[in-house]
Amino acid sequence: MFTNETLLALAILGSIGLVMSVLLSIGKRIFAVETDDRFDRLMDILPGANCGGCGFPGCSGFAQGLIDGTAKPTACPPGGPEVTVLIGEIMGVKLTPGEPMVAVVGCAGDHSAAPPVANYQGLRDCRAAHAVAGGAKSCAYGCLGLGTCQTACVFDAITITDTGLAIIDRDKCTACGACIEICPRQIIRLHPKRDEVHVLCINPDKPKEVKAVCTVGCTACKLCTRQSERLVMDERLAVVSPEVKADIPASCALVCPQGTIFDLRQYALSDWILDPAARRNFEQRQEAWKAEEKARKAAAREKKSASKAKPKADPDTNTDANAEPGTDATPPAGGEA
Amino acid sequence: MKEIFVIVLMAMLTENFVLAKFLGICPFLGVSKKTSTALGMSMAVLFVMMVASILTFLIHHFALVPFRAEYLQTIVFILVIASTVQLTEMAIQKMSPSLYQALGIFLPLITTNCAVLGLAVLNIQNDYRLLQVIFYAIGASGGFALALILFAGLREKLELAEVPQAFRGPAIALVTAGILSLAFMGFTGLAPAS
Repeated sequence: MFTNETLLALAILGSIGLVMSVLLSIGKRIFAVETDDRFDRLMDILPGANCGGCGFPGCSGFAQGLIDGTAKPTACPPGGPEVTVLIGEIMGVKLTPGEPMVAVVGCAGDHSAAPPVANYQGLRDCRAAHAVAGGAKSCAYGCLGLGTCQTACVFDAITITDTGLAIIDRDKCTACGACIEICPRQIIRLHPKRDEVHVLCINPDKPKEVKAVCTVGCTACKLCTRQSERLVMDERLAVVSPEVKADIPASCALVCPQGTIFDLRQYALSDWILDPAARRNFEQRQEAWKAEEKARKAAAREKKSASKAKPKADPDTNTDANAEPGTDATPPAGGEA
Repeated sequence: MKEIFVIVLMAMLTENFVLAKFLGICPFLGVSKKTSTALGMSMAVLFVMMVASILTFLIHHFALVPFRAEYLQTIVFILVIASTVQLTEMAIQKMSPSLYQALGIFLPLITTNCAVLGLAVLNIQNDYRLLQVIFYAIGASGGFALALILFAGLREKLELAEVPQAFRGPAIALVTAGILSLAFMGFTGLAPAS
């Protein structure tokens, strides 16, 4: 009796289950939703940081955008060239990854260089500080250093120094653009990663006004632009041109009387910003370079005058022509000593 | 005819599944943030209730009663309801992906929605015939829809209201649900003398 009942129950349940499963599998056929397997494959290769650097809501939005054709396959900044190539493989197109970029804070004016002019006690947020009469910093274009970009960065690439400046770690930065968007002063900008030199100032004011608020601001003296074609003037600011292809000699940074130009071949950014020794070293190198330059100029002048003198001197006596370069040659020798 | 009308009215108002019988509270609180999703959920529940109550009625009378296996009622009904919900889920995913996303987890949760199971069991307990079962399902899901949409409308208004800190979020939602339930108690007078 007991076994019979159990069997009956099992049979009833089993048959109902069977009927239902048949119904469900038919339903599955009728209501089959075509899912694109590329979506899952894209999700696998995307960084998954959901930083929004591509302009889409997260990595899944970007993957959907790629499939719909609304997203640019090269638009993932954190992924870099490797991910771009993989996206190309999945989407069946050949892609040449764009130039790797890095975000740079265009300000080196810390508390000592551009001292605060007010005692700001409000929210620890650059946007709030900027809204209150333009912030407490003397320079209206300088980094407020309250760390709004630091919180915006999902890659932990930004640190705020004790001296009130944001520093971006070049290795951690993925150029997603989150900090650029949130900075109320637009100080952070993207630069090609291959640039060895950055002008750490964005103050477009007149030289006098820049000097009044900061000791390391760009005063539009144009000296650097004579050292390399890569450095060009953008109104009253020197900028590293992304279009021109030319070497940037170390003299570009050394020629700057304000020390605004940062050369990453010589110093680490954090040393440049924080370590007084780096600044001292820079000043020594600058002195040495200036002296060298002076000597070189003098030598050039001498050569010029010599070549000028020669055609005139040739018809004249030999003694006169020999005497002239001799007298001119002494100052460079003295300069070198 | 009068009997059918009474059944629908009773299921919708005097014995409202959510506010008088307190069945299906989970989606009532979960999917009631926006009127549009509340409407979608109501439609899904309407469909599931219709199909499930008819199926369970037929299974009860033609599969369980002949074998005197009524004791299998609960498990068989759950099986039927779960399958129906699965089918509904597929259909919604195919026909309205946005509604599918908006309903989220609450769609599969209809599977274990006590309102649906309660309806199936009540159908049997009340000894309804097929026609009555169909209209009881319409009434019940209509009542569920009424409660859910009313509540969603209230919660949308609450979003804009200035609620004391301690009452924000689920707390005020529960208070509102309680008041709405009290209001529905007012329909009790409509109940036919039995």
